[in-house]
Amino acid sequence: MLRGRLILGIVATALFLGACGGDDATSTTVPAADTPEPTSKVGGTVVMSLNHPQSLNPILNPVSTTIFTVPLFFNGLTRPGDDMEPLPDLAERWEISNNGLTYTFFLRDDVTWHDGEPFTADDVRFSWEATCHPDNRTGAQICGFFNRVKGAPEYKAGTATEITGITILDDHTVQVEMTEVYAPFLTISAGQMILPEHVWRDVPVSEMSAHPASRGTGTIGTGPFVVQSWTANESIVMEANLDYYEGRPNLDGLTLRATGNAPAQTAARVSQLKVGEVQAMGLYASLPQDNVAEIQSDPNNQVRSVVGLANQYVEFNLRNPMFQDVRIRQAISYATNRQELWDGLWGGNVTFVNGPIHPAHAWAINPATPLFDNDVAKALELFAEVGWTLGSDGILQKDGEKFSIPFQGCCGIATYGPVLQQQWKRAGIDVQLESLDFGSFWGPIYLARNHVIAGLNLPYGLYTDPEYPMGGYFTPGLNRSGWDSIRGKELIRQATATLDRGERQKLYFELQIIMANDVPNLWLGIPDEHWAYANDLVIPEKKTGYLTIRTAKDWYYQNR
Amino acid sequence: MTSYWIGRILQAIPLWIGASILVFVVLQLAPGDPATILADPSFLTDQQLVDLRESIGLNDPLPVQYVKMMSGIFTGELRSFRTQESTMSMILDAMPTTFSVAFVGMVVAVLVGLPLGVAAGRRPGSFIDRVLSAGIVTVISLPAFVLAILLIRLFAVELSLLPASGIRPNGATGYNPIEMMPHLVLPAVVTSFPLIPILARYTRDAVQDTLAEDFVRTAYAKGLAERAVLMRHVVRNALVPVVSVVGILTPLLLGGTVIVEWIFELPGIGRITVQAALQRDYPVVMSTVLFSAVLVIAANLIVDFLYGVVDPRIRLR
Repeated sequence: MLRGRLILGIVATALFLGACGGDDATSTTVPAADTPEPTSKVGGTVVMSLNHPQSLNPILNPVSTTIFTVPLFFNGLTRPGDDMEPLPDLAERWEISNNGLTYTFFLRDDVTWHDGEPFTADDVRFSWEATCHPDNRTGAQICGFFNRVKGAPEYKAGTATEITGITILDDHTVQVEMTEVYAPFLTISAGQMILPEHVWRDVPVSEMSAHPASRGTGTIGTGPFVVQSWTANESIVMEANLDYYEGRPNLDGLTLRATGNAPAQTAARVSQLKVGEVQAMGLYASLPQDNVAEIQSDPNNQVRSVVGLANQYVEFNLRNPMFQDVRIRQAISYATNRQELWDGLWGGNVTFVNGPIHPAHAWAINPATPLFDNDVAKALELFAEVGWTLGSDGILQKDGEKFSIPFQGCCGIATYGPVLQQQWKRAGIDVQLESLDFGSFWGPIYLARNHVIAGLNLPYGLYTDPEYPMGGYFTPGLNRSGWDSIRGKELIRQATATLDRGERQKLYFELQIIMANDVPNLWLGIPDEHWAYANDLVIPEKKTGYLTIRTAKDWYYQNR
Repeated sequence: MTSYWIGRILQAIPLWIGASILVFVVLQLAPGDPATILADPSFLTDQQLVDLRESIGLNDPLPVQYVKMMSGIFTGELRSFRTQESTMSMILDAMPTTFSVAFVGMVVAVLVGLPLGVAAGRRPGSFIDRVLSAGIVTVISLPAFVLAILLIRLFAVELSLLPASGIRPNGATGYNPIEMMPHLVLPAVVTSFPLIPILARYTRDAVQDTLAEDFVRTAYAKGLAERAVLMRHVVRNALVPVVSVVGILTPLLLGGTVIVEWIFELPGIGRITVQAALQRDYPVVMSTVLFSAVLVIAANLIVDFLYGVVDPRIRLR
């Protein structure tokens, strides 16, 4: 299950790349024709368990719960396809100049906002400027995707009154001038959700978060569903947008029922599914591995497993002298038995990539990346080379000091941490496991670089371009591991500065080899995300949960 | 008499302020950075983190932060770090849910606990008394979340008699008691569960003590029937200590609703509080905890008032 899926993805992507070639000349993308849904599929409401977002305003809180939710009622100029490639959405096509510095987006002229107002180029300009507005502190991360748009940094700094690189050519044509080539512009930047200017233009950006339209009252988008209400900690109620530009959704309504991930809540959620109070659960509210068999045998529900979003991994703090010798990191990697984790903990339902790139970006994953795994003798050999030898108590020692380290983390470490603790003990590593809550770990320990070894799980599968996780290693202020590589930086710079996917692939391949040999992290695997839903609900198969919920418009009930 | 009650209310003010300082200090001592909940922390640069902390006032001196929060509570302008919603409106939105669960839970506890206590106190060492003692041990040993899951499993999943979660049916809005009632049954049972043995035990002891009083012996000597003695003389006198227990139980009741709201996915104050605590949303935690403090203080004032109702001698003094 694990390996086959990854290999298939890589082969398919290679074929795709071969077909596309690496052309950086002016290119135009034309959307595929949409097939109207048979009317028999229309009707019914789905109540889905899902962790609620902080806001329904897509430019304010770039956290995963918001990213899951807002595409249900907003659109971007582009959207991710099955392989995360950019597909037309509000922009029906685009052109890129030969030098890769000018994008011209041709917007659809048949799109209306939920209140009937027409969607125009002014909305695009407004949304991107509001994203980068100096008062939009929480949205500063999203503005980072527009840093290379001419005039955006000055606008963000408050020294300009507009982003000069955005030009409205007419009501349905927007031109964007870049200061340098930015490969993820179509995948990430142009995929950001567009807000209605007519609703928000009189609201100061600093007041947007508290505005009712960010909280479910008067939330106006262009997306397939229309928000009717949001009751905090209860439900976000949506109805079908009958005027959606691609045709109405099959469902009459979609309700997102608030839930959480404490064990008791998980148990309650499974009960809700069994009694039919909810018809679907997925993403962060997916079915726990322990309940898969129960729901599989349930006559009213089914389970589908997709590649999870979160790569589980261990990060060394390379500022700590203990880990500065690469042989120590390689030795700990050798002391790790990943297969034992995959089989014992995740029931074999896991995908492994030796690096931060998510399988959704299979084209960028180097299948030849080396892996130091499950060889305790080799681990002890490497430790010995650095002067660490086993003491009489079975713990590595050097100059009277024991190899004793804290292993801290939240959100996942509670499951795999004890297993690693036992595995590493076999190689003489004494680990004090500290499983903390999110708040205790992220701020004071991880962001402050106070960790020694940290257990992390990041939803890399959410990001529509591999630049996002890869670039983070070398972005000032983001490099928490302290890993550095002159060649790595150059590879990232080059991969970001070319629109040729084949070229980017080569650069990422080389970077993965460097990372794998340098071992700044131990990649453990991506546990599957188990979607559970009613037997008569048809949810088109997608590679990840994120892509699955983005196609909620196409869900339908059969035989109802 | 009026001056007595004004004095009691004035006494409560420093208590409440003390609680606010305590909560504020505890929040500051808790490890965590509220700025990390406002954006994706994995891609939050150091400068963005500094900017976020600045934007929510975390760089102000602690006394300034405290005064700002308290004045925000009084003006209703205090806002959640996380959502920028007014904490006052968050509490007002969630209050009907919490009150419904707490009220029904307390009613169930009183309706079950009092008769059980009277029955056990009437015949110490009897079968009911022994069952009650064993029941207390059982209930104390059974965490509320376990009971909740068992009840959901039995009454919602296996028997399909009651809904598994929520305060009202999917799609319903408002607080229609008829729509809410099936949804309140299981939460109310779980909420009342730890209260029942406490109430029963106190009632049992109070009834037993009262039965030994001279006036009860006199009542029996007058030839009154046992039922009349119990209802007219014993229970009313035994209620005095029991009423004080109801006041003491208020914090337990509010604490119980936190678990219940969490498991049954009820949009109440307890759920907001736990979420806010986990996310270091200090303004929300301050607001909800201080609101709960008001409720506890108010409950104790009400209990003081009820003493006078159940025992006129206290009122006269």
